[in-house]
Amino acid sequence: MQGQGEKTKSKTEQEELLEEAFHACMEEQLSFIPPESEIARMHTFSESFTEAMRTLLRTRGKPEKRQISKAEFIYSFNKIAACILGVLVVGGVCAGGFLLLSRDHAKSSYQESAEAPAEEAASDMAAASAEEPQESAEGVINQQEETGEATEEGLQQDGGSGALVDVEFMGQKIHPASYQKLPEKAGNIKTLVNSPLIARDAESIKVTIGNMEEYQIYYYANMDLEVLIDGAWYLIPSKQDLSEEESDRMVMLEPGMAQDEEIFLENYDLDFDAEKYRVVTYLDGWILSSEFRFENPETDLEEALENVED
Amino acid sequence: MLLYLSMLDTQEEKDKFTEIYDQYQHFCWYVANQLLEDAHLAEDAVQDAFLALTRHLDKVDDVDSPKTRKFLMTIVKSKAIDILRKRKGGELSTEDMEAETQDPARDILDQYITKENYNHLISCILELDEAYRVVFEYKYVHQLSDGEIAQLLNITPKLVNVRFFRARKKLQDMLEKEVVSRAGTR
Repeated sequence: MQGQGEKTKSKTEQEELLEEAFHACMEEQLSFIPPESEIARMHTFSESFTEAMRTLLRTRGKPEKRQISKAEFIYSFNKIAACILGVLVVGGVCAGGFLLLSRDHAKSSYQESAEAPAEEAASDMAAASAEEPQESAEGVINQQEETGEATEEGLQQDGGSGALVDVEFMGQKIHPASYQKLPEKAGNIKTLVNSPLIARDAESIKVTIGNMEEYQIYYYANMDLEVLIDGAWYLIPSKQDLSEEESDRMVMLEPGMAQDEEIFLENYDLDFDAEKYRVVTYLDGWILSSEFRFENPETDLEEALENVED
Repeated sequence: MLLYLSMLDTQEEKDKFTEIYDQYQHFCWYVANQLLEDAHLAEDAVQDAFLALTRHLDKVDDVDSPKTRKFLMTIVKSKAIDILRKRKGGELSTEDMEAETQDPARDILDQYITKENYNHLISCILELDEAYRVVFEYKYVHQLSDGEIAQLLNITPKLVNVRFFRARKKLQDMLEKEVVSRAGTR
């Protein structure tokens, strides 16, 4: 035991000696290196190096392989939305036409198969021909009305900010959000605020973007914050003065990875008593939202008590 | 579970990283250029070094300290050595690694590391190939574990161990030679 103890002790001493020796050698090596300013005069970094380091400094090692402008992104998104709308309209027209045709066909078959007396048939035909224009006119009106309602409803769901007007919020006018109804996830891509209930004294909120798809995705690091007022979402303008480069920065997310982004609340004028807030994340091909609200000690306590009573 | 939450990017970390870069970019290039003797390859080594540093910023406490300077020197040297190694024909094969598994009986370096031999040790370290020195530096100067060194060098912990064993063997041979020759001259 004593021998082992001595061995351990001597090993520690040897390690200390090695450490000391390597420190001394490194210091010797460092003493031959000229000061930074002198080396800077010796060598000018290449353009490619400077650019690569600029990217590295900006992303701190996080991949940022592709950059497209926000306008380009929104244009692509709108293009996809227009295509989907086009397909739906064509589908609707075809289905409507088919229904009308089948109704006419059923009517004519019925008339052909009827074995009523000639007079009766003649009076029936006359009555039918008199009613038909009225019926079809009513049909068209009803159909237009129906289409009108559906379109309005569709706008309300997907992009219907047209009917909404600016509102006053925290002493400033804010505009309706471009998209009223947004999903929290698309396939296996999901955004999530760190907590659905945020403390009033929180300095920031964290949004996790998770990519469980088998392909890499891109998203804008700059996200939007929106508030729910009387059932409609409104965009809260940021006080932060971002450069174009900063606001257009896209981040690549590998499959099976998640990334946290932080939204600093000091950059927004917020009403802690507002019904709900949401963070809108722009991904390539998708716009996702994640909702939260600020804690309200009184209401939350009442709710908790109600739950206990239940 | 495939989902890994990546490390948070705080403003403080970003500032620290920028500060390190501003302060040591030319220093790093100089160190790399000494080994590579090629200005452009030295730039590549600097880039690799800073990329590796992004994952180990927690090991830098004070940007201005000599410790940070030494840490950066070791990282950039190891990255320059990687570039040299790649140019010369790659890493050890698995067979080489198996052949060089540690044999404690052959490792008698500790016997030569004494206070009396300290000056011999210094002269041997100064002559030691940089590829071996960096492994020692990571281990003894920066006190990193095999796992941490493996992360920085982008190799497996097993290979770190192999390199460490090799470095010890090399230093042992040099020290043995040095001690014997000095003893003979007395």
